[in-house]
Amino acid sequence: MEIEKLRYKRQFKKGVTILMITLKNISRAYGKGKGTIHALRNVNLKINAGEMVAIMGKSGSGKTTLLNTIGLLDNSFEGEYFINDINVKKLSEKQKAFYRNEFFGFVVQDFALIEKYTVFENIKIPFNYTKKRLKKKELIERIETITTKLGINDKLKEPAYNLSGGQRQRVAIARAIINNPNIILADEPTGALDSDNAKEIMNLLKRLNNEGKTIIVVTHDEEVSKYCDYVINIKDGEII
Amino acid sequence: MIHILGQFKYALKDISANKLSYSILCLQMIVVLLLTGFVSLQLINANNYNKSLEKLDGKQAYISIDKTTAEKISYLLNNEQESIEKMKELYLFMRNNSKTRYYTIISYLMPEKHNGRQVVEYIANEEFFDIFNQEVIAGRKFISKDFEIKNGTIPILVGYNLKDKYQLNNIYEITDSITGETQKYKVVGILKLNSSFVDLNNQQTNFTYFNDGYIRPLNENMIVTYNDFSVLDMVINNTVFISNNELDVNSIKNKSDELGLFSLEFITLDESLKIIKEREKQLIVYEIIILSIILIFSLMGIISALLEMVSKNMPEYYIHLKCGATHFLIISRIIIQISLVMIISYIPVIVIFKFSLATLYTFIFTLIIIFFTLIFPVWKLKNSDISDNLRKELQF
Repeated sequence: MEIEKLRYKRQFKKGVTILMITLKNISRAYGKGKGTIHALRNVNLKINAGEMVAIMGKSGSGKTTLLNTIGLLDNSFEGEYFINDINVKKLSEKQKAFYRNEFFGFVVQDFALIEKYTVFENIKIPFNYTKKRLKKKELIERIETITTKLGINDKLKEPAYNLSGGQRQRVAIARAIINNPNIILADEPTGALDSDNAKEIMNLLKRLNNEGKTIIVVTHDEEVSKYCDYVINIKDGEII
Repeated sequence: MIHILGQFKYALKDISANKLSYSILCLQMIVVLLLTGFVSLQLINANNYNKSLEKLDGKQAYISIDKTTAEKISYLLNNEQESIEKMKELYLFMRNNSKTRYYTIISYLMPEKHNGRQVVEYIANEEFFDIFNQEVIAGRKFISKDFEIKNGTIPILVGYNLKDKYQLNNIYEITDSITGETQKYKVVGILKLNSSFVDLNNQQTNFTYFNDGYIRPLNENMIVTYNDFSVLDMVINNTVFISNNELDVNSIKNKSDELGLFSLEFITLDESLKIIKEREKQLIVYEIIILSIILIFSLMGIISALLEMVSKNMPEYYIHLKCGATHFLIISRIIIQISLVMIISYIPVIVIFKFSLATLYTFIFTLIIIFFTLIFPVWKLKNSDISDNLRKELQF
């Protein structure tokens, strides 16, 4: 435990990026007794920095659980999960929160925006939890740069509920990358979009991948998987 | 700290988005906290009076009860001048009975009203202030010289509620309740809020508060100069004797009998206090029952409102958790919200009770309420698994 803390601190100080994530024999079950659902069964996986990976499978196959596990959103798994050489099971809640904030960006099917907040406020959320302090002016500049890149700069003052599906997903992506994370975890990012918007979003993700970000996309859409370097198929919680 | 400040802003947004719910919560809490303040005050007063009675130095106090028959009173009144002389003799006997300490306080309802309440004039001797110390918030207390004034301006201590009507250091012309003549009164001090004493002579009320009245010193040497039956009657019957020897007060009773005046009987402080404490206890019990009922409903309301808010905001909390918030920060956001409600609800307590012990006790009670109201919402949040709830709430 102490060694993990030291490693964590060393990495944090050096500002090391995530080079590799490794999952060893990861299992995750929901419920107890006869009603137990095995969402993941002995999953072994290695993803290197800069890769764009698709996790494909039918509904209920365990792909979202796998993504949540990778994103440190699910702590109730069995097995070992390493980020670089850090065993995440041994990290405290605060440290996991730091990782979620610093190294991961999340994009989900229904965008997960806070409707009552403006676009600016939604994008700003990760910044409220970062250890890197920026001046207000710098923050505004960074948000403007990203939103300009995503084509939603004119929507910053709009409440989230005023936006179209495509715009919402762009806001979600802007929020996911505001802290410049190493890995973007996208769960069915095009699931709620029409084909034109879906293409745009995937092109956007591909562009981010080309800029060096690791992208892990959960999807059941063949078209989406074509943007990725390789596909991990999952069925009944097992990688096939 | 910066992250907590961020949560403070989110808490303000939550409150602003649920103005009605929070207004109702505030109103409920104002009632609860004010009631708590009143109960605290009652308990503090009861404790203070027990302490002030300790000044009797373990001696017994004897309270006179006038058992004179109506016929006898008529007789005394029909022979008023003779009765007055005898009453003066009895009063001098009472004063000169060196073995017995005593205090006297009499009161008159004045014709003036303030905020719809009748102003009361209290007249008390020096010994009264030795036993029931009265604190002032401005000006000074009475000094021995004040009790020797025969003519000229009379110093008065003004009750808290009258501090604007009779202002410090000002001189007012008021009708003297004893002589009926216009007299100059100078305000030398303003009494603390809820200044009071255990009214041992009054079987109807436990404590008499000076808030709506003023006190003037009783010059005991002047009593025998008044040729007024009612004044002498009041003074004799509103004198409490402090002694550890029943014979001392019996001598006063015997003297009264010998002079053919009132049929005095004395009950001890213990007996009187027993009645007072029982009544006080009952009052506090009633208040605590009412407080408990309101508190239970308010707590239920607050807890269910908080739980509802937590459930409603759960998707939002998960978004924050995904973006790097910790459970601690999310919980602090809820704590800030309920604390703000409590702070707002606490303002009327400060306005009414000022910075008193009752305010402090209510503050401690406020912290306890915050703790209890937060148990369930915090437990709910703390035990929620992010991914499980992301599935349920956001239907990923």
